[in-house]
Amino acid sequence: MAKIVTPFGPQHPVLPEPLQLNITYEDEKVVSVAPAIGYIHRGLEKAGELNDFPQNVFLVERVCGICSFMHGMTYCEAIEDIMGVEIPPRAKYLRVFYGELSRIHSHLLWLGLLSDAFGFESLFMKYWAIRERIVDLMEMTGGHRIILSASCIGGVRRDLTDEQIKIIEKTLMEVKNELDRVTPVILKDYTVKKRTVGIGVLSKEEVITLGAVGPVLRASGVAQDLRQTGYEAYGELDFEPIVETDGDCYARAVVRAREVYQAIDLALEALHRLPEGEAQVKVKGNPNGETIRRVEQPRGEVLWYVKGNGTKNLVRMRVRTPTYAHIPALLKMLPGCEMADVPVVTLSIDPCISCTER
Amino acid sequence: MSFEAKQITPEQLINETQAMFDADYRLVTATCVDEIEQFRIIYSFDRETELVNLEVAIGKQDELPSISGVYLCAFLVENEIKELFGVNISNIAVDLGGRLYMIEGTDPHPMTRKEEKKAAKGVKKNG
Repeated sequence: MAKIVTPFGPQHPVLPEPLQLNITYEDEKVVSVAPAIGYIHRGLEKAGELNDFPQNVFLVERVCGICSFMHGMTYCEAIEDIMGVEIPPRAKYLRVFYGELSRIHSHLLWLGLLSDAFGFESLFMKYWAIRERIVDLMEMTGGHRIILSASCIGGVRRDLTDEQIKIIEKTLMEVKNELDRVTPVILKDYTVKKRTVGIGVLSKEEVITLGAVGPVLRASGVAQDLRQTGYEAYGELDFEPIVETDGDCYARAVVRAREVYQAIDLALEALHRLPEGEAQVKVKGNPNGETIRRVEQPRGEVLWYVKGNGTKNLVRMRVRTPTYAHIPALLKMLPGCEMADVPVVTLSIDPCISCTER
Repeated sequence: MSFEAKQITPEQLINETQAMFDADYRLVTATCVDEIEQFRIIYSFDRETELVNLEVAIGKQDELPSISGVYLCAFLVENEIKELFGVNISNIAVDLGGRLYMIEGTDPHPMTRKEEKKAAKGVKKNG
């Protein structure tokens, strides 16, 4: 059988962003894959050296729309760590709340995209309709639907009123009820299982050696989630990582579907235990030193390295995003798959090319 | 500040990386910092949320061996460092030849720094 090479992307219905995979097929089976990125490299790390370090909060929130809040929060954590700033307890809980809200809407977006990838249009619409409820909450609390600019160096600039908290609690409970009607479809439906079970399998050993993170890591049986380290207020909340063991596309979907419920519970718990007091402290001076901070974004672990030399400009600002870590895993998963499985396998890492290329 | 790194030489890099691999550490990433007169490369590894950093300092023209023979997944970040900073990394398992992000005709190594910025003294405070 002769081999043929077909480009998958950079423009493809299942890809929200440009990524090209040059795939070699033998009949309809994938033999090898060569990735090509670089379509949306923006040089954000260099821009971070040219801006004042407080301005960078707004820059880093634009590394990626979906993970926007978490990029801003982690960058602020890094600057606070270098400058020895202790943020108020209320700010820590608010960061947990906004972080979990980001996780809910990110996972719902992904579950919709996955449904769309294998042609389950009604499920796609259901998930995105539910997601709108979360995006409405973000607009109510942060003033924007996606990019909230809620974190600042020294705490949180978007505090919540008692009235807003009541609306949020009511909405999250309603979202939970709506999910109870939809989630069984992704977990039990024959069509979903047919397209995801046993597809794109990664073993526990492979995910570690390939450097995978987040739901991809946990779907292969590795019980690791950076929220276990207790950053912000997670150490005071009830949290255990969600783990599946099959390592296939179905397991990744199950991890994310279950994490939506967990994120709702964490957001509600953070609101119930929200301490009184200020949400931010004033920060003076310039960062002088270096640090590495990591948090668990919806797509997995993100790492920020920041170095300052006592001036208002940073010497170096570096981010390693989850999708960047998943490119080698994707190249391992695809060979051996059928042509029809390529979109589902590619989506199973929850690709974000804006994050990857920065 | 939560930054600690074990200092190693370029000659020790492969053996030290192999030791991390054998101990079931996951490669998180490598970070290049241009210190004007030299490069610092920080390799970060994780095991059960514990972060360990190895740091190599090399001259701007010196050669640094690739760790992609140990961790294949390192090929991506090594290509990035080679392309954006001009670090002379040899034997990368998948060498993209400086075409990960950049296209022909653009300035090579755009992440390099030309001079140290002035120290904090006398600089207006930022809040």
